[in-house]
Amino acid sequence: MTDRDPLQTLWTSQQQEEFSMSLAEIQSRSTRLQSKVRMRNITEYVAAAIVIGVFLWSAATMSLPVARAGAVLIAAAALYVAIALHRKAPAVKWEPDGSETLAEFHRGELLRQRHALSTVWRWYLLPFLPGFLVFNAGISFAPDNPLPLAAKLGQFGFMIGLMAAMFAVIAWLNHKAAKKLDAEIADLDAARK
Amino acid sequence: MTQGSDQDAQYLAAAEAFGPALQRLARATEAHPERRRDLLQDVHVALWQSFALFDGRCSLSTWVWRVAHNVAASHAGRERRHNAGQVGLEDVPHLADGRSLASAVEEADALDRLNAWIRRLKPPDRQVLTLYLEGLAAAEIAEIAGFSPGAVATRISRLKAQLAQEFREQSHD
Repeated sequence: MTDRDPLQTLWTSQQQEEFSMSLAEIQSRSTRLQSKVRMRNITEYVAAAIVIGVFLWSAATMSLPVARAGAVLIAAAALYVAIALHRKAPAVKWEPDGSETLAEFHRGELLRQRHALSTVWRWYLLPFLPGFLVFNAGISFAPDNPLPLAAKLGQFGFMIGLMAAMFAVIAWLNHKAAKKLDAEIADLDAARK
Repeated sequence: MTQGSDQDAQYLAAAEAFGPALQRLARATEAHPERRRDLLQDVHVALWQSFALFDGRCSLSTWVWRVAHNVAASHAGRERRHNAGQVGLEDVPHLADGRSLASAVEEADALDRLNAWIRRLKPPDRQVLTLYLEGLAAAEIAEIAGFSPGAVATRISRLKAQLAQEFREQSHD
């Protein structure tokens, strides 16, 4: 007979809380969870529609043609991102499946996060770039802007600099997060059969 | 028997056999009592759903542990921010009858610290350690987790050493 670890004895001696779920409660919660996923998707569509609507409304009410074109491009980018988000997080809920080992499941999650980090440029940030550039150019070089050309260039350059700084911070944060995920994936792979 | 009644019967058998262990898993994953109850309910729902797919390709026990731990890992990922530093008094187990107050308090405190420590681990470590604490052999844990038995044994030994050190440091504080 092997000696039982005192930690295991301590662990299994934990006091149990009152808990029971009937089959009817389980089935009802299962249905509610599916409705929750549908509701979440509807909320995301509404949020995307509001963002697109705001930029289209700005485009319609602006007097500057270049800035107006920029607002239309930003609205188009928001639409593109909404579609990409929908494709990346489909309404299909994870189906609990005990044939998948813990390592396979966890590795899948890590890879999904890693992929999202490495492609975030392409589907989340770059689509907004043309719109922001055109919009800022439209504002900075507007005919009724009383500033001299050098100051206009400075104003435009400042906005570009702000965007470049934002992109650099995101790139740095992504790089750090991706390195951490790579280490976790490598650790997992080393332990797998 | 129809597929639906098979599913129900398999779930009921699993809930009966693994109910207490699932509660311990929920406690090792979530500190907040309400969210812990939600997690436990999610685990039971996932188990019930999973039995629609169960075809005996692995043992019932392996199936149950995998589904439960994967649900718990997803929950931990989502709730990581909420959990940080939120181990309150409500998390201390109730004192059991038939023991001296001092030993019961000591045991409750040890369990509280143990659960809090486990919650801070990364998913693979948390899963291997909780399965070990449930009394599963390294080979069974390896089957459930998809690790080699050697990797499981090494991980358990490392985690136990870290745990011992953590408890020593805490009792010196």
